[in-house]
Amino acid sequence: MTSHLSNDQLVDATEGTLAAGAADHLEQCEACRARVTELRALLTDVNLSSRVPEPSPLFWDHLSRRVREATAAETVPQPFAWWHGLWRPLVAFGAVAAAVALVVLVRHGQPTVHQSATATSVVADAAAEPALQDDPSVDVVTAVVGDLSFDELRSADLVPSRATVDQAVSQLTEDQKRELMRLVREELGGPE
Amino acid sequence: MRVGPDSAVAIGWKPVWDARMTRSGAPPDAPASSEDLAGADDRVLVAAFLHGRREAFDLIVERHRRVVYQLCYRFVGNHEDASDLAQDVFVRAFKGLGSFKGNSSFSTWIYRIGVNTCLNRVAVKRPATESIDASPRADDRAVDPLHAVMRDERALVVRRAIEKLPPKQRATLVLRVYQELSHEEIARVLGSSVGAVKANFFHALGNLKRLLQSS
Repeated sequence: MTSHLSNDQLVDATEGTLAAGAADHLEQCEACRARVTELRALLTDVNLSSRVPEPSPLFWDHLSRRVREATAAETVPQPFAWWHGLWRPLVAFGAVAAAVALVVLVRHGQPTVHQSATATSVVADAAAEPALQDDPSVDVVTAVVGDLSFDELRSADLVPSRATVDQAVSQLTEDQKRELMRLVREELGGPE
Repeated sequence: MRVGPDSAVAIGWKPVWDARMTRSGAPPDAPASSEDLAGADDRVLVAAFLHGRREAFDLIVERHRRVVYQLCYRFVGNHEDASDLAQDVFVRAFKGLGSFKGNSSFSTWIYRIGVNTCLNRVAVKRPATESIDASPRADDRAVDPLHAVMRDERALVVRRAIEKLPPKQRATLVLRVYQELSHEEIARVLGSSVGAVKANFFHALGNLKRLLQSS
């Protein structure tokens, strides 16, 4: 071994754990030996400064009591469980569900909704709307609800609340309200 | 996480630290009394604590308080701050035990909390003005007084120099020399590699030499 010891090897030499090959070098290299001697002297200094005065024997129980008092109002934490890592996917799912609910609401308020009440047609129409054309979230919603019927969405609690629907209806134009009524009657099988 | 069976057998009960404990929240087949808990290993105590046995945490504190206090003392250099810090470490441990996964030993985990707590404290508080009179003394009966004073003065200078080291180097030096942890253990406590620990240790000594020369 011709090169000097690396920093790691100098640490190992200082602590007496140097590998055999490097130890041979150390035996022959005065410069490395001087560095090791210097590091050992520093460690001796650090060691001599390390004493911690022993506190009063009463201190230990006092410390325990202080900890007990400081944690008395705390509830015992729950054990780490595998499902703790699932909150992010659940939040993502919730966001998608909210988007689905929003699109369903918008589509049911539009006059261009066709006879079919399936979510597939609703979302397909939504994607054709100029206002939503450039919205990438429409693609996500299409992929998620593409094969679901309105009833399935309702059973999954993905439809808007009654209050939300009422508010949406109140904002429709007169033409849109007439078209909505026509669609409702058609869906219920009543007269035009 | 699974508790080693030896300690549990020794205290006469069967450990059930398995999936049932973490997933269903079912109470563990825990020791019935505090006397039974006293012989249990750290993981059994953690399990008992997480299922509502507060006295298990008392035993954890009792078992680790000396090491935690000494670690804190070596960062702040005085009894008052060290005892405050030690209390803080255990309060943090109490609150955080739910996230203890058992991937490392409990000692490593509490060391990690201790080092982080101490580094946070020393980052916001200037070093204590420890006088030579307040510094810890070895048994001086066998040493002549002049030598004892010189030795104590040197120790104070070294401690002051250590306080000026960058946080990771300081933590590495304290854990290696004062707490006598191996490089592997320090790597687990600090969340770094053994190579990084050795590099920090080497640079800590280099910086310490420079600081001592300038003082």
